[in-house]
Amino acid sequence: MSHPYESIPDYARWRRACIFEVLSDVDPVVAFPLKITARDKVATAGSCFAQHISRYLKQSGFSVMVTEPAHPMLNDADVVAFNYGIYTARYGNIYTSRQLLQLFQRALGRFEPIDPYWTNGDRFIDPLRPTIQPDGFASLREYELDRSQHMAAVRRAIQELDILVFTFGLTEVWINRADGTAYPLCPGVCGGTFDPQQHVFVNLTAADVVADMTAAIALLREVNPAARVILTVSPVPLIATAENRHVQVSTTYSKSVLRVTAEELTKSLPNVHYFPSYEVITGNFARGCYFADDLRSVREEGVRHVMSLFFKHATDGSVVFAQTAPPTQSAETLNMRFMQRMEEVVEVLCDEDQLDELPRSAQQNGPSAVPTAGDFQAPV
Amino acid sequence: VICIGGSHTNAIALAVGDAERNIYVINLRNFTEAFVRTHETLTLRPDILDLIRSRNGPVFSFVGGNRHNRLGLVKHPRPFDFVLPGQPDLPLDPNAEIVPFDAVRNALERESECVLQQIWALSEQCGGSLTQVESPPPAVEAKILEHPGKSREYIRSNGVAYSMMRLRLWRVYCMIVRSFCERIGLRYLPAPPESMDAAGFLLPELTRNATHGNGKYGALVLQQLELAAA
Repeated sequence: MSHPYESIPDYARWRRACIFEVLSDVDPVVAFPLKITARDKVATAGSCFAQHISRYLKQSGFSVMVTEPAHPMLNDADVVAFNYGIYTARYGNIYTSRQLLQLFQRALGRFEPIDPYWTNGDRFIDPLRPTIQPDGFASLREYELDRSQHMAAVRRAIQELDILVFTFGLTEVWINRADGTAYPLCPGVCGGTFDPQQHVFVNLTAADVVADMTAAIALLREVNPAARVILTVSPVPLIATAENRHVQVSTTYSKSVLRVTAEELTKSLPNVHYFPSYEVITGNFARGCYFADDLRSVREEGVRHVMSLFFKHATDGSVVFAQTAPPTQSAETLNMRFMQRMEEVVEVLCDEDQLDELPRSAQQNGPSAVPTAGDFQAPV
Repeated sequence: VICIGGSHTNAIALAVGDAERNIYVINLRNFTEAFVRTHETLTLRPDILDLIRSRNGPVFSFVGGNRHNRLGLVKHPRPFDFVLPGQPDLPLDPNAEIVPFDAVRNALERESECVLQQIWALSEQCGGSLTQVESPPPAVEAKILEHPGKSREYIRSNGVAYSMMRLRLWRVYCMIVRSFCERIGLRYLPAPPESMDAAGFLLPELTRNATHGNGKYGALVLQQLELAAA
């Protein structure tokens, strides 16, 4: 007797789709409809797993948008410490749909958080980017100017991007009761003071996340109608849960909600696609080997597996999948040239100061490369 | 009084002129490789050290007076500015991007590293009598633009960096050097207050060229040195 499973493709059968001798042969991506070209401006945002996506796209030569780049005077360590270039703008990790929605709303002048800053001694902390730089901001004015610069960078990103790659991270979020501000970290953890009267824990439901993301994508398309969206779900488990239950149970809930939401959004909104990086890392076929010893961080092999599939299915093949960083970028070169030139300028200025109208006593010995005649001395 | 350093010692030499004063100036720019690096240690050349020791007087260091100018004399291809925490309300370059103060300070610290090593070497070799003399305050823009030297065209075509940013950069640089000196127990002599205008720039009449004080400036510093040495 004939039945629908008789004719299903191999990828729909567990035995044929998931049992492979070589783990990297597992490929759960089927007919991904969007092909990123080298010309497409790709913006990235999301929880920490999104950093890997951003890194691989950049090192492979995709036009990953960075609208808030580090000034080239910063060295590599400070670029990382001050969270430049990790995502398109310097927003740090965006763990929840509520954060993404409010980021877009703030950038477009539709939302202003009730608590604009926190203080830590004489330092100022951005409640919505509490770890964006090592010790917070050195003055209130610096913080306000930086925030305004940051908002302009976010605005430019959402106006100009072709594709937004957003990685869902969590459903658990701390909210300000007064205005609904969604904090990336619970107040008190990395700045601010936790106040149970003011701060309330919310664990978003699938309906909440769908509503947030629908509103966020609507805002995005209000200013950029052609924007396309790729959603992924971070495979990284919760580091802690505020629910009174086992963290694994909370992780399962969060990831399930986010996965369901991604599915719903791809069905309800045009040009929104789901890329199954979550499945590549957490699938049974991986036997957990893509997680590091802390059973939480994703090993580089896992990231590489995800990104090789991303390049295979979500790009048009015009850019080669690269695992190493590209050569020095133009801004760094620009700075290097400037600093070299300025070294010469300053040296020349100092040399000229030597040569001009020195007192007679000095001129007698004069500038010289001969060590013994090197010093000059006013008469004693 | 022994003054040792680079081109900023010229202001002292100019101030002393041919007068008979007990001032001994050692300009390290007249030596090839005044400091010698062996492994991780920087040391003053033995013959220079002999010169210092032969005089047996208090030593004033002028080393490293221009490091901040590498970053901020001429307009950077990506103009930047930053807020000074102690004086947040000073005007900012409206055409520049704002860089976090901590990041600017880190960049200047990297720039200053070799200077701090030289100060350290001097302090180790000159004993406890060393005083670090502050770098002259930044010149006003007009004095930089009228600079006649080889760099004139480069400076004019690129433009002088925003004046208040230059002032801030100098202050941060001084702060780095000063706190280093305090850490290693050296005295630090700030630039003479009377050498500056109300904003903090070097008075034009005390300015020799784009980055140096003249003999009149040297004379003011000299007064400080003699007072400190007394």
